Amino acid sequence: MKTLTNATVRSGAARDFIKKLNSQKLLILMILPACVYFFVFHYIPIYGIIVAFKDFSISSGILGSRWVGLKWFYEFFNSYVFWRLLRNTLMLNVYNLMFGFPVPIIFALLLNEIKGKRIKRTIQTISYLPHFISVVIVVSIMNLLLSTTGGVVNKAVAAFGIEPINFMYEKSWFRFLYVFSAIWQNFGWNSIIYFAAIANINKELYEAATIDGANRWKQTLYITIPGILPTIGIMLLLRLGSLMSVGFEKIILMYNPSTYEVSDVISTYVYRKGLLASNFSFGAAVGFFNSVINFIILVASNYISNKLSGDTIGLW
Amino acid sequence: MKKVMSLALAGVLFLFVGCTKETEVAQKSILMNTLPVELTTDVAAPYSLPLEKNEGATLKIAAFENLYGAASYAENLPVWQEIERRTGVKIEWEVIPSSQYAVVMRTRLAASRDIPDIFCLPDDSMVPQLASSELLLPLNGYINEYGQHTKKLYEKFPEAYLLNRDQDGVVYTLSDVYTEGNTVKMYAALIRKDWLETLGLSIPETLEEWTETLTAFKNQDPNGNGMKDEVPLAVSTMISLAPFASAYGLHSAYSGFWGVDALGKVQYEVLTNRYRDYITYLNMLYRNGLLKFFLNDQNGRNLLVHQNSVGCTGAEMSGISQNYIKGLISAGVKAPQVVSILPPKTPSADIVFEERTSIARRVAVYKNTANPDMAFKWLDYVWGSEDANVLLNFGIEGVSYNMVDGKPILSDWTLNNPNGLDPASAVRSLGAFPSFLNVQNGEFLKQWSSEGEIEFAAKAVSNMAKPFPLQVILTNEETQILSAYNSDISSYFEEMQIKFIMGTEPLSKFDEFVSTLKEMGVEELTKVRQAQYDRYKK
Amino acid sequence: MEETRKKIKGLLLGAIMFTIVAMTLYPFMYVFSVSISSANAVLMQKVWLYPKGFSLASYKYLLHSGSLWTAYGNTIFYTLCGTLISVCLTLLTAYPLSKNYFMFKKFFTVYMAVTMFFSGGLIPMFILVNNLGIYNTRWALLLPGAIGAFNVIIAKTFLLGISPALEESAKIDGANDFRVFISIVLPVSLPVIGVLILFYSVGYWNMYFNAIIYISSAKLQPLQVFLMRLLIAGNQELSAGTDISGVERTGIVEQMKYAAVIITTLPIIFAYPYAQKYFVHGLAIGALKE
Repeated sequence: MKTLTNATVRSGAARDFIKKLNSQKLLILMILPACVYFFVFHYIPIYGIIVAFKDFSISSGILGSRWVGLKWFYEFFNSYVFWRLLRNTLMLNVYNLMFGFPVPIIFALLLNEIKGKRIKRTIQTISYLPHFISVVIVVSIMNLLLSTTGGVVNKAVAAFGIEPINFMYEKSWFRFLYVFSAIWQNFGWNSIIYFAAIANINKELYEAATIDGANRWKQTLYITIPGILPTIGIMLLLRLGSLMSVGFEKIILMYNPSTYEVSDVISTYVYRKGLLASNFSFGAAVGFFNSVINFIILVASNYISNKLSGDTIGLW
Repeated sequence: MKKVMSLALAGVLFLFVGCTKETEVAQKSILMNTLPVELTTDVAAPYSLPLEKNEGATLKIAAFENLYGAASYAENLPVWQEIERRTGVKIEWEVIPSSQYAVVMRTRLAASRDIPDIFCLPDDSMVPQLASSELLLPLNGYINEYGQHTKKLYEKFPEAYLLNRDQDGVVYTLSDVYTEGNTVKMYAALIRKDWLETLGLSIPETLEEWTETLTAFKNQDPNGNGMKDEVPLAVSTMISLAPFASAYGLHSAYSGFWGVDALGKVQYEVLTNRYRDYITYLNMLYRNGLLKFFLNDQNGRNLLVHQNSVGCTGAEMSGISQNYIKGLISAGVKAPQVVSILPPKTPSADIVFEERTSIARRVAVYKNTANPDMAFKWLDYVWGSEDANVLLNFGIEGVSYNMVDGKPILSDWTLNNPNGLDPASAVRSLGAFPSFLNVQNGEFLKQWSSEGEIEFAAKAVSNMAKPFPLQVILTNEETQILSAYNSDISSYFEEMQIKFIMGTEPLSKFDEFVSTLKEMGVEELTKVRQAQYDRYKK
Repeated sequence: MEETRKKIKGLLLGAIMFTIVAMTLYPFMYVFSVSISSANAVLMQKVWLYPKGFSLASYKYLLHSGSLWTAYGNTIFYTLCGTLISVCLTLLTAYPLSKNYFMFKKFFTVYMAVTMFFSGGLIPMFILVNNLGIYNTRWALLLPGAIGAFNVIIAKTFLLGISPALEESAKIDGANDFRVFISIVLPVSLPVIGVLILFYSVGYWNMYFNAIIYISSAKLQPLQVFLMRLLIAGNQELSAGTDISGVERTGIVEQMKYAAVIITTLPIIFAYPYAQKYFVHGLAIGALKE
């Protein structure tokens, strides 16, 4: 180390750099495994992205296949249903964000108001349960409850004298059902992080507030919420960075051609296309398109968030 | 100097000769492998069992996982133990749940790493892609050399050959073959005969009679519970409406609406007026509450069936009506009767009663497998031989079947399984009725079907036609056309079809629908289908 | 007046919580009921909340299967080892990133965030796993997903909340960064450690896709692959071939999928309260902070 410093120090800036390097060597050492990990498992295989710009053939491999430029992107953009796919993908995500994002936070705050530790823990545990049930079973439960012939929901609706609703075939219901079931299945699980954030808040703050005569509501408003705000901000940023992603598994179980207009999303389209012929390049091109948009949204919202919060809430 | 020159020349010559010799050998084996399959002559070198005498012989096989999920092939199920014993070849299984199989195998093939000796293709349309990537072993030479059983099977069921050879006559794959079984398995309408009797109706034969019957089911309370809860016609897939499509001369069950006219011209039937009439009829049924959909929701349909509220349903029959009846009896229905009936007649079109597609799920040998002779012989025995066929269809003697008068007869254990398994699941728990290399034996299906079904099948046979040969192997160019056009077209078609039927899109838009389909490239698809058909007929 | 107000609030809160519990408990209750009802009741779909009839036949079948226990053992192994590796690496990574003065903070965050969006896809990943020589070994399930960028970011956010004063005093006493991390930071970070343990362990427990891609030997497969087999058998829409028994599957085969859900999830549910203690600990220790 010493010889290195002696040999390379020329300007003050470089000296500062070396000095910094030296003083932070333990921190660097700590992050080194992750650095290697991301390099090996994420950056080495990243060359696969070029498949999106090639006509992949198995015999020539990824590097040897013929370049076709933006052919697959054009094929995707020119698809008969491109705009519809884009709209549906975004809409499902926007609804999910609007309604799904606040629920775990509200739930965590409400549960925080419950006094008994035992009951609190029990409710917490129960709220995660749906997260462990596969979508196959979730959708079959939906079918069971929403059936027009003997489903509990339609029985309840009938009690008000309303005609049975054919939930799974009405396109007006699809988004609601998709988002609602997603929230129902995941809000408990997603609230874990907020429970932890609440637990992280210094208890003395509450004690001081109690002495000052602040009631529970005021404590929540002035201590709890600001305390978990950084977590909320980061979660929101990460969520915004996936606005273009919707998994196909649940949708293909839920949809049928009569609701394609609202239910067909980018991933289901690629899935159906992939069923017929194994076009690796097309799938890669669509994936790349999604990633770019997601990344742009994330970078933009990170910038805005940094601006608004004075550099306290941001990924970088 | 001269000496040196000549030496050098000799060296060069030697290298050259050496080279040509090698290429010659390589060429010879390729030639051997792609020679036309000689169906009529005997094989050059018949083999006998066991295939291998030494202990260590193994084959790595990648296949769809057992459809009876509680018993994995990897657990070395009895049927496959028996195969191992007979062939002397150990099987190293790599089984993958069927819904993920395509993704996993495609990745491995695309990476050209860790490819098993024998594998099911991730999807049946991948043959040209994989063959041109030198991943599949051409089997022609092996068939001529050792394919004693394969040849016999080809002779008996030419489809097994016709649908597995490519445009140059090279065979890369074997596949599931549905042989005589086709005559007891088809899309048919199942109707509640006891309901008909209650209402004093006879079996409907024309479309008008069908409408009347379904209307009567809806209005006259055939299940006698005093409520109008009957669903006259309940379907869980669009395909199960095939009997009605048949009445309009449409090939919907196994042909995807691809038909051929008398002159051998291929036609997408969705563009025709017959198709318009068909959806008009279905729209009428739907509007009048006679037809109800349970797409993606088979359980919902089955529930209604068992609640004694369904009058008619379409299904791929065989063994169904029995379970149907069993279900009704356990639900407390007295003496229920369910029968399969022929599609309705119309004056305007001949009834098209499609036979089941004859092949599925192709299986290939990896080109660089260590011992191609052994791999092929193994396949030939397991796929083609009568002995293995009994094992694969009926399972283990003394457990799932017994020999009676030299014929395998399913045992009571299979038909009335003490653990409550249906016959298919029961034999699958032993490893039989596999999800690949399945040459379905008609005898097996018959034994498990009800008498009514067999009787019906016998009646239906005279009306049956072969489905469109969608499985004829495509060329690389054809695959590209298909992948560019097909998914958009079929999505649009499916969407409009159900909208027309449910009335969310008026039928007056039918012409618009047809012209959109044309804009989307139906003609291109038609060319591909025509080429397929021509090759099939050649 | 104040008292009644409090009471009303309490009642309201109770009502909300009761609804939530009822709604979230329902699917599990349903799955459980189906798994232990009589096969006939399942076939007739009489079960929609509590069990009808009683039969453990589906469990008998599953527990009989030798591969279930192997798969169980594998999953426990992957979960324990994987969680240990992942949580350690994640915290080690998150700590330097939580220091504003760390010179590579911005670079590394972006370096890492990019991987959340861009990947080369399955084929190069498969080739890599092969070239590393870990294909079809246990490492193939432990290494490729060892660190989640998402989790590092979460951990970093939490570590940011720790009072710098705590660390300063230790540093004045001569402790280096690593010591501070081990003896000062970790003890006050129990809530986030709990979160990481929970996220990673459930991730490993539910690991499925990597297992079928990178593991070809049945002996190394985890539990979820076993479960998926059953779910798929019952879900023909997704399966590749034409199956003969699509319509008429009997009740018991249907029940097995439900029994399998119970068998695979019960351990997590029982293990969960232990992980949860960390939150409570965290509550107590929070007092040490800012």
